[in-house]
Amino acid sequence: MSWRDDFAFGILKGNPVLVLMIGLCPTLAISVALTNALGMSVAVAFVLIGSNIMVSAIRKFTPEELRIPIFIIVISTFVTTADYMLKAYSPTLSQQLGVFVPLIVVNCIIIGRSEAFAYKNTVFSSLLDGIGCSIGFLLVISVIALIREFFGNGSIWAKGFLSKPALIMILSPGGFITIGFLMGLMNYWNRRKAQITADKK
Amino acid sequence: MKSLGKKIVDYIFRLTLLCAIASAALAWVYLETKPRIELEEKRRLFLARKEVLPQAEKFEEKIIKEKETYIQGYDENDKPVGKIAETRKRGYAALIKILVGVDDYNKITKVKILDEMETPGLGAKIKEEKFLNQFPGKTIEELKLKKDKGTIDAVTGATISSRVVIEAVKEGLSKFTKK
Repeated sequence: MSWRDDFAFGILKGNPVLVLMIGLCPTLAISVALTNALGMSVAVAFVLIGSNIMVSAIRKFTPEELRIPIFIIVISTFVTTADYMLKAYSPTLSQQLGVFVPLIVVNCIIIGRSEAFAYKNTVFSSLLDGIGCSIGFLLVISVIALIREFFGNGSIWAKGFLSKPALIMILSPGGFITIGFLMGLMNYWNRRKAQITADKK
Repeated sequence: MKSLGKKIVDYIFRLTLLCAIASAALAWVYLETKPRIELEEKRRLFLARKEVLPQAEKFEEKIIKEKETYIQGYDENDKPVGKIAETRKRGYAALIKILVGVDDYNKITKVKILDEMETPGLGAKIKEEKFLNQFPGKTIEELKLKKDKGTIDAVTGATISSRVVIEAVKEGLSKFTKK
């Protein structure tokens, strides 16, 4: 794979949320408002890129049987760092995200990328993969949050538009509905693209 | 092939080494961020108290009796200008922390939600002025939902959260009224 593929994989073809379908729990929980979604994305990007680089850097030091505990140590170190930093430099955001920051430890996107990618690839590729997946996560969670915030709370970026929003969109069912449709769209698009490439051959 | 014993020792060594490095890194981050976190926390608390008692410039924690405290507010001339009770009650999702400000006659002047984790769009609306502005001036007897024959309009779809807030306000107020 070229470096371009490493980078692009997480954005569309291997989008962590819509295609690999990992990390759904925080995605659904946080995507009620655009501000929260962006804050969460930044925290996830920091942890994902950091742990990808670290896991890749120490992959020669990591015996196969020990890899999961070692991934967890690396990831939780980054998560705790992110949590403290948010508390110190962005207390409002830290308040809004609450328990979901510490819960990044068990976010499948991060351990998934460590296991499936960083453990087997160079530091540089892992960095690109981390950035790509972070962008993929950012895009999806922002789109979901935009849709849910607009229809469920009648606002965009905390500015009101609709007076009588459909409350269901901001509750859990609205999250499932939105993410379901997006998954459908994404898979349709990916399949069509694969079809076109296949036809060309 | 390494023997099992050697393998175990090797693994223990690797994990210990990694944990030591991770702990050292975290200790450093903790020490670096701690002063700022404490500062932010203090600032947040001060601003919240100030919002409840706008005339006050200084706050002092006072003890009523064991484990029961309230906050006395003073203006710039050290004159007492009102009191604040901080109460916490289990809400629909998690603890709701509330500040209740009262004037010298133990009348509610303002209620503020300090922390909550209620459902966004429903219970979280207890933070809105529309709901909280119903509290000032009310007596303990009046502090009930309209559907419980009181005077407070509940937040639509969030009766439980609304009741919890009312209970917490009552508890805060009773700190000053009961003798």
